[in-house]
Amino acid sequence: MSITLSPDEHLIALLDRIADRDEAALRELYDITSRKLYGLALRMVGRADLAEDVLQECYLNVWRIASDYRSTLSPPLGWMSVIVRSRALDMLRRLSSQMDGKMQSIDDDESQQIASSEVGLLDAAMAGEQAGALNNCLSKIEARQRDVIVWAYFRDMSHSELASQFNLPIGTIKTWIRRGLVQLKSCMASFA
Amino acid sequence: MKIHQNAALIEHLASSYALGTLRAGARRRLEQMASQHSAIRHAMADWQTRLGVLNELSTAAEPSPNVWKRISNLLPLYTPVVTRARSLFDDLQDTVSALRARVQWWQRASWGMALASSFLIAGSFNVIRMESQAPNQFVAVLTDETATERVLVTFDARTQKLNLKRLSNFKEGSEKSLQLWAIDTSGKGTGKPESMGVLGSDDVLRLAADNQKVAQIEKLPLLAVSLEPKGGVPSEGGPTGRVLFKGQLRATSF
Repeated sequence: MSITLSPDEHLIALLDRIADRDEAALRELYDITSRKLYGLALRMVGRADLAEDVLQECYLNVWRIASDYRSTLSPPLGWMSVIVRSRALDMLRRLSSQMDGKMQSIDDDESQQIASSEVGLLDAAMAGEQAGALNNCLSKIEARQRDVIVWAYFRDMSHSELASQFNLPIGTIKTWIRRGLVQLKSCMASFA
Repeated sequence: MKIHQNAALIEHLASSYALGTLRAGARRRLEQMASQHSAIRHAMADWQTRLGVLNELSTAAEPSPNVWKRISNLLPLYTPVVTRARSLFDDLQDTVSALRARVQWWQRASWGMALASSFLIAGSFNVIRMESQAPNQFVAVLTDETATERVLVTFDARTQKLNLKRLSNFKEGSEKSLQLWAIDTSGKGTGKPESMGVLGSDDVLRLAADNQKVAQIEKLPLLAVSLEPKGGVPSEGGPTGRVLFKGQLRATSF
């Protein structure tokens, strides 16, 4: 009799095998999760070559620290997302300190395109219940306000950077974020 | 005003912290307050979980197949350092003993002709610029997967020359190059491989190390040689081909 594992249980079983240095398990984990995590890395760093570096570092990190996973109590994809996010933020910081002006121009090239379709890029496929709730709640926030929140989170931007990115007064940015987050919390509480 | 007693302010600060808009000093101050007040700590954790779910909402995209190739190539370098270092250290001890014996033989043979013998030593090994007792020497023996010694790497901090000597008759194809990489496995750096140079087809290669390379060498990195397209690949992307040989760099004086 075969026992069907939930997607999370399957990923956890793979992480256990990876902790025992099973390379085939890492490959399987990569096949299942890399597209999702690459999407996250790409959204954060905005360039394919950099996103691939982030992805590479993420899986090498997973290989190194898989034995720590069990103690985190996080869903496996959430745990890996945190690794991607932290690597991507490291990269953004490195880049902005190395080439201040150039980073701005990368953002400029893509900002309008990404900013206008940002929420369209949110995708609840393969995400857990909480993610579905968050997606639902985000869709209830006015589009531009939602874009500011999502940009702040994924690009690690300060209020002043957001003001310049969205060409809005800094006071407006602060108000939008504050109201948006309050609304988000209250909406998500209704799903709990 | 006592922040930890103001629920609305705690919420605002905790949400800004999780979103990332709370910066520098304010961020650190909140972390400090959180260590003393559980209400702040809980609010921060709630918001981090709430917004953390955003990570799961990114649209999937297809990475280049090269990413897995690079990961797979680099995996051997990310196995626990302790086990690997121990066996490599044993190999290194053997190599050092053998080298020392050869140096002593030469010294005895050319007794009274110290100057000439030092030329002979340098000439016969090409690569070994390590006079007895000299400090600031670095050495690594790179081995293949069967633990066969393939490349001897030495670095002399005084001349800032990185010397590589092939210890076997391995020859890459005419369209390929061997590239030397350094990986800081101390856990303090990024752990990303940095290119140290490309080997020519000669048996011995001398590379002048710039300050960045010297700094990397002094961290005693793991060294690896990968098979790359002719001329090597840019350092930023890391190795793209198979890792053929690897070994831990060690500081020594003899």
